[in-house]
Amino acid sequence: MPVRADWIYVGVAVWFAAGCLLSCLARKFMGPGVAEYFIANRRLTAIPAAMTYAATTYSAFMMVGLVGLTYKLGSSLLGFELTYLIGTVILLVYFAPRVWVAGRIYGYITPPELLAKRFENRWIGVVATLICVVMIIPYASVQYMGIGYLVEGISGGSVPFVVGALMVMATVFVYAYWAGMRSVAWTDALQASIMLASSILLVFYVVSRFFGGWGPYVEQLSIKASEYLKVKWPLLSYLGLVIPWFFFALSNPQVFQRYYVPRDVATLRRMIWGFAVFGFIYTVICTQLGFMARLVVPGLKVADKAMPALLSKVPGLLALVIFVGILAAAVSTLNSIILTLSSMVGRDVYRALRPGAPEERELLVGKLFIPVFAAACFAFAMLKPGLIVILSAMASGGMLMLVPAIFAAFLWRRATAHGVLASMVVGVVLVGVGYSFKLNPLGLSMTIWGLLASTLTLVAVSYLTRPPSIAGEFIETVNRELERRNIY
Amino acid sequence: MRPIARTRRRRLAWLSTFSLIVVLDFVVPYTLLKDIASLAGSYAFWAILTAITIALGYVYMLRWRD
Repeated sequence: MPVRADWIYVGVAVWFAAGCLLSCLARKFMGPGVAEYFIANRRLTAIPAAMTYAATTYSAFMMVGLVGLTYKLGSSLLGFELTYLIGTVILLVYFAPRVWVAGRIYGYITPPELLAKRFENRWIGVVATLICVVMIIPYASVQYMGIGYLVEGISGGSVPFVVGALMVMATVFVYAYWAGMRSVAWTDALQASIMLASSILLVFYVVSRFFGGWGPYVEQLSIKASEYLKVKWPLLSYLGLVIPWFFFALSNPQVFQRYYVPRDVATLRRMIWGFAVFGFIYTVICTQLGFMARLVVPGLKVADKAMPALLSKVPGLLALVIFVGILAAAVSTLNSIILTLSSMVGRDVYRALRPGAPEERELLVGKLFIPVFAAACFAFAMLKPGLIVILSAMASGGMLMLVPAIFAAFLWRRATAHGVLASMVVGVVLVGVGYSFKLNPLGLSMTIWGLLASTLTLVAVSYLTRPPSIAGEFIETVNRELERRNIY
Repeated sequence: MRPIARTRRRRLAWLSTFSLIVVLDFVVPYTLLKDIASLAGSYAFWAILTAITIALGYVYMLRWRD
């Protein structure tokens, strides 16, 4: 049964008002300056830091895409999502303290800034920003589209697509613009709580209403859907998707920027730990919902319809709560993406190309781009150009080409600016060509070939060119500070 | 043992442990558990391996200090 349109408007209004309240509170604590606006002056405490990391990472994909893919392919999806989590934990414990320390010593605010200053070349920041904007905007607009379709589906068409997309745009703009990172982090803490609580509620409702408990559910799963408990995803195609996601913690600027924000080492540790536990629970819940949908609404042709179909079987009020949970997941990812991209335009493009510009001007440029990016995502979602499918699919693959440079920044003194620039460009061009012409040499995704080419280019060009003067100093200074804090 | 040598040994030990986890994460479900049609197969393996990684990550971070 569809959810009534007036219920949806009231539910979303209550949720939006709660976020606005937190956003207003965050504004009261906000001081002046770029660092304050974009990274909360490196003073975030553990709970908002962990929750914003989790809510930024986990988008509406989890409750719609992951549930649908588990419906279609079964257990392999848990493997895909948990391999991402394993990769993230490993990369976080190694790289997050390094980025955090470098940020404190050198005053970095954005991810490309670290690369541009470490390699003493402002064009690295410009190119990295361009790559991120081109890759992430289409991916972000898919989130708008997801909410548009979902609200249209659960309301039986009485709330149109455009209203769903507008809800997302308005909320993202208000939360990000009003008080920058502090507002985004505090509202993200609320969104993460809603995401987790609503998904747990749905799992328990479905188990008790449709199966009569966990025992009968597991029994029915092993009888009626045993095929889906095997590993059904072909290995090469699995690798093509899982490898870019394995490096998500380094390739995506919106999560990378969060390594600058914890106020001390203890907070950084709690951020990593809190995120990991959240991610583990949320992933298990979403994959279980995929299995449950397989049993409750079997025979769907389109995997993405699994969650809407499951919601059509639950009471309207519960469906509304779940919808708000999914909306919270989309908004918390989008406001972080848009805030980070805006900071990069101000810092890595405007300030880098006009070094004499005052900080106030950089902040103004950055803030101006928040509505620009929010509206660009909306326009993409409404126009649905054919290119959007290719660009959003290659988003994680394209940004993966920044990863060799990040490894080199901390681990390889001999790496040069020309090597880094060439590696980013070669990798992105290869991935772009691969996705445009649907090339999979030897059955492997072009993303993996792009990563290999990007790494080899970095090494080869670096040996042919001269390393920056501060290379050794940067690595030694960071390592000395890490040793002082017993981080190895 | 000198502190630098000790740090290097620790780093190597952690790198080996995490590398082993990554190898197991890909190899075991796609070989030994591929055709096991039960939640106790690849599903449980991935869940347990992730829980172990998170626990190890926590231990890795315990020594950090301000």
